[in-house]
Amino acid sequence: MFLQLLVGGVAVGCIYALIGLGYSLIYSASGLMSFVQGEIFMLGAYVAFTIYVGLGIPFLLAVLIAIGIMFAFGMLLERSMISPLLRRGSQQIHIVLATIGLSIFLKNFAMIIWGSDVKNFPSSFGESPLKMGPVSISPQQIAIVVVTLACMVLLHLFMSKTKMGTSLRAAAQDPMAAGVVGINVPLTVGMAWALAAALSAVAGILLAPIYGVYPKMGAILSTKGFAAAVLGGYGNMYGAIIGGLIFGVVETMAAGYLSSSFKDIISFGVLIIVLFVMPNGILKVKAD
Amino acid sequence: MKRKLSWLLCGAMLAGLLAGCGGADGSGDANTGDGAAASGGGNIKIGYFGPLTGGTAQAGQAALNGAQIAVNELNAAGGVLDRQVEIVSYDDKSSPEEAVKAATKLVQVDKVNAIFGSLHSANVQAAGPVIEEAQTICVAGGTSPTWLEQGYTYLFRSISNSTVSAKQLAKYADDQSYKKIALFTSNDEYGTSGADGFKAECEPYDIEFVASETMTNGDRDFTGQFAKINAASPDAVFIWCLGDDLGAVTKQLRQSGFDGPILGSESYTLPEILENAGAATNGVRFAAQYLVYENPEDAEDENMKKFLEAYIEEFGSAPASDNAFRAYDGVMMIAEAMKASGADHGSELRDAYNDIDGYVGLAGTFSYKGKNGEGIESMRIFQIQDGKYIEAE
Amino acid sequence: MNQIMKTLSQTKVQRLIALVLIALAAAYPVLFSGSTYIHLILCTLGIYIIVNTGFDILFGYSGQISLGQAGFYAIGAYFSAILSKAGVPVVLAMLLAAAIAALVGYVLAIPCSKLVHHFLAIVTIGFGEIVRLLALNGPTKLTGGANGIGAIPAVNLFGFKLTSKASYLYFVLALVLVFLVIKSRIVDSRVGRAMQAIKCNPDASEAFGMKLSRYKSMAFTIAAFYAGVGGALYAHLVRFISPESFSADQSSMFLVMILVGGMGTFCGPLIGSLLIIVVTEFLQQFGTYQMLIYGALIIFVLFFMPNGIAGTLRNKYYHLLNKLPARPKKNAQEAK
Repeated sequence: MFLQLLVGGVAVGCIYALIGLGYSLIYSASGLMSFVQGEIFMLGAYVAFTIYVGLGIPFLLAVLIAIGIMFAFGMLLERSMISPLLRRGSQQIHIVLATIGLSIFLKNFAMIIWGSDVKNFPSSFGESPLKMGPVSISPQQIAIVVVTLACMVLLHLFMSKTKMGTSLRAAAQDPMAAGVVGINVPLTVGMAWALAAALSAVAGILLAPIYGVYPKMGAILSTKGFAAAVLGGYGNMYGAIIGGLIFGVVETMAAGYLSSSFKDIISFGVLIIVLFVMPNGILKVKAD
Repeated sequence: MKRKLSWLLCGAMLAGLLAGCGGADGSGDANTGDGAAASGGGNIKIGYFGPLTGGTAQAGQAALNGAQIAVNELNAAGGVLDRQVEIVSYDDKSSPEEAVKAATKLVQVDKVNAIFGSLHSANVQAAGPVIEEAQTICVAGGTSPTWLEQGYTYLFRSISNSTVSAKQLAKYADDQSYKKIALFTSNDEYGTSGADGFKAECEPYDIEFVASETMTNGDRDFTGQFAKINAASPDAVFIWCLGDDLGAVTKQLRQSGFDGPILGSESYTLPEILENAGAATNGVRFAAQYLVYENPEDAEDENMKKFLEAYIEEFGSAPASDNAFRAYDGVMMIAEAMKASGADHGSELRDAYNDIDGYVGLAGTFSYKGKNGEGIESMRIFQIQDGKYIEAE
Repeated sequence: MNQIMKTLSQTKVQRLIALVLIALAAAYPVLFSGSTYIHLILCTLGIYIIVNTGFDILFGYSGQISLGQAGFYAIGAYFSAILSKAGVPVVLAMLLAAAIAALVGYVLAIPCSKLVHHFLAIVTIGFGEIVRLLALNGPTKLTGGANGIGAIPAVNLFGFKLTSKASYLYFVLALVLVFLVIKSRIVDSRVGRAMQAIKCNPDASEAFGMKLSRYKSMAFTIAAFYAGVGGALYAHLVRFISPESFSADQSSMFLVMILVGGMGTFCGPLIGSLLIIVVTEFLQQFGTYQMLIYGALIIFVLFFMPNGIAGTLRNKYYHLLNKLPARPKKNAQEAK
């Protein structure tokens, strides 16, 4: 049973990590907190669903188009809402309010367009679980872990090897200095939001066959992804991964060995205790 | 450029707002009364409160639509007591607090003659005192027995409560000699009352509960819970959660390696679950009054066929939830009570409603006499086999 | 400079509002005779004003975000309901419940006083969720589990049973006044100024010998007390509570109210509570579209008032108000 729980925990932890990464990216690039990641996750799943099931475009192509659309959406969100608000003199906390407003808007937008029922997103990896000794793993779980790892590696390479990634990191550390040396800071900030949206969309598409697609699907996950990002050390890319895995495994273990009624109480309790001991998360970052 | 974009966004929002207003205008005619007093002349107003936004919006909308079909039918036949019937509807956002506001507004501001709502038992319970005080009858669609056990005399239910299906399922489990049953329920009012009812009904039988696991509505990882359930190797699993979770739950339970029978809530009637869980639903048994048909031809019952045809003609597609049937039955019975007594409100109407005996609705035959607000107890056990519902013996 | 405005908003405006409230209360039976619906909405408004006023001390003045105010609200509601059903006089039960909420707030502040921003946000989210789940899964005999607690006794004030919404409204309004005055006292006091100083510059404040954690936990305790009172009032207003009323949505509604209204001001929480309640009731006519419009409206308001209504108005009419004579004594004291 332990192995089974571990597998489940890691799979769900990967999803938390993907969403958490989005939060971290946004924070490190613009110092902001966004509450719309869960809805971007949901929207990504809906867009992929519409393209794949509705229009009948082949799966991989549909996924790529959906991720592209969500990437553009993230960019648009930053360019047309966040940065104009900042220019108008909004404090950071009011950006939070704007994202709460947007999340309410998007949730209801999805409900009106697609309805509040659960849409079936067929899994392209088959439904029947693989048996490995006592452990049964669904193909979708394997896909989740593999894709998450691939995303991490790609993101790591992007951040450390490409020019765009380097300027993104530079802009995050010191926007003014980055601007002086000729980095297009607004573009890089927009880029971070776009990447965050794309990651959330990837998570949404990965989970859609397990979750089904419906307007509320991002509500719980966004909170847990946020918890993952914070637990690992907010603004730290690798922290989000560690945080996500820890959160996922603790939660699943708590449900398996203790009580499922107290699952969330335990996982949030662990979170509070960890933050009490390590107020800056597991991988330290500067808090402000 | 940036400024333009932000204006564009503003424009888009404004357009959205206008679209919202436009959309509301269509139904606005039915919604806004001209302030005519309820008693005496003017239209008969039926109040509705239920979820129109949020996770169960579709069920709420289906209920409102079902009520509308009933009203159309009544008006086409010349109205009730020679007056036309209209609906005043409010969204309770699935929140007890909003439900109290909505119910108060219905009885105080709109002065409705009778109410249908809500679908959430907690919301009905929260609104109970308001309704009782206003002496306005309220027929509700929530299945938890709790709110009719509080001694309210103006509350009624247009579907059987969850104890009835629990009783049927318990008997069925005993007939099939399931000795070890694992419970898996959502940790909200719906799941808890379902599980408690089932446990109570299983008392007389030789049934042991080997696991009792819960989930939070919206959660999607049940590895821990199902590992525990499988470790207990039950004969059957009892699942009681809302429709939006049910598909995922069933699929994951099957993927976790359990292939025995599932005893489930009446939410298994929703077409979306068959679609989402596919073959995983094989072997699901549930007790229900009616199935949710996608196609009127599938319905055996004449009333149901007629209702579905009217519904599809009015709204373009079959109801997404059986709440449409509950609301239709509720509104029709309110009209029935009005016709029988000639009273359009207050305690007279309540007494007339209480006297309903042998009314045949979509759910079956209703009799409220001396039953404290409950009207129907018959249920059938269905089994899902290869994407089709068959009646289990 | 800012302090001048603050002083203003805390004296003149406050008096004005107190006057308006008293006038409203006095003219009330004439103005709104008989409509229980209006009474109910006003009661809810009063409750939200109390909760948000306390929240503002924590968030606006002390600079600590909380996304778990519904947790304290729930504690107030549950304990008041449980205690009053056990036979404790209702008003006493409400006070006790609020005190328990404050105590929990104090305990929660121990880990929280070290945290900032997102760390604090997620811990408070977790706290709210834990409270809700405890109410749901805890001892069912006490909390009623998912079925909640019904038939909660009405407030009994010196032999007068406040069963009608109208009489309850007087009770709520009186409490609103009391808690508004307490807030302005706190904000004006040494403690309040210390909180604001810590918010502006924690390092400098610490260098001046202020104990950060002490003031931070004080703010938490006060906000928890306010929320507890609000919750208790809610429990005896609706007289039925269940875990569904205390979800994370409720917490974020408090946050929205205070941010729309404008934080760190006297009027902000009042404007925010009033506006959100009026707007949600008004939007009822749009049926399915209402929450869509609601979300769009929040963004729309922000585009024109980027710092909330009270906050933006304060900045905009800063010059105007600046010309008004301020109280010189306070000024001299607060000029840095």
